[in-house]
Amino acid sequence: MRARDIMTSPVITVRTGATVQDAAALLAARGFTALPVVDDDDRLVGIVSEADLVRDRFPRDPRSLIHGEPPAEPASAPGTVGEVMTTPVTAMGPGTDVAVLTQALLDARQRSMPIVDGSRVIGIVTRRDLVRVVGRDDTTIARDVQHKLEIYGGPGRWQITVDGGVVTIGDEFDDATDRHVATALAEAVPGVVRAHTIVSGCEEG
Amino acid sequence: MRAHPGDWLVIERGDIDHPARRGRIEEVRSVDGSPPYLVRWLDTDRVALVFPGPDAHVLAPTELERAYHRV
Repeated sequence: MRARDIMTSPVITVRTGATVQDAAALLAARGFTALPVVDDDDRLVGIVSEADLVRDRFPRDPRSLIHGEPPAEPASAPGTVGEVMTTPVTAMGPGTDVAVLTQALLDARQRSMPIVDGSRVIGIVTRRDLVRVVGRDDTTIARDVQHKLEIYGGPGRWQITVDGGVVTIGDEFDDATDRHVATALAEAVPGVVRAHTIVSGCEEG
Repeated sequence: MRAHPGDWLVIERGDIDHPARRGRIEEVRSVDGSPPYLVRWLDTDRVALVFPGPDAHVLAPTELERAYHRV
């Protein structure tokens, strides 16, 4: 499975000069967790996350002050996305293996990975996108695998069963190349944990 | 921002607890030397496609050496 198979595209970006308020409104309205930040030439220069946007934005409620305690100096809240964004930003190409992308997100404790073609942002993969793939139900997965295999081997040839994301492909012909291709095609379907083939009845690895 | 393979990407950080982050530029993905760069970070030894922000600058190997000796 490649990044392009699961990325959100087109992606909404913000400019460095956009206000924190506008960027936060955009995140809240769309349910995103982060926005790639681009400069005036549309080049990626950073990423702005929920954490970046909410930092130092909330004054203490005066009612929560302990009696006699002098009120704290109001924090000078930064006004633009360029001031609060996280830099530098790491990105990956659309052909990146989702296994590699997921590991990179986990290692860097990042929530999202912009997907770029050259220096242009063409999509984004968030943890949410990955969770959605993991959570795909077996019926939907089976339908997608069936569709992919029919393109390759013709209709009615394969019997697909899916259990917990594990795909079993039944094939009456025992051709090593076909079985290898069928397995590879099935494993490229979002939500598939593993795929293996069996020859009509007798189970094999 | 312009770079050549072999240059260093240096990220200056605001606070003294976190020293500047450095990485070797292994690949420049444009003809004119502009970002993105394929960078091997010195602290993690991981390679990443990096789009630098305004807090980053590029140093040639000789410039980095000079900056080192000044400190």
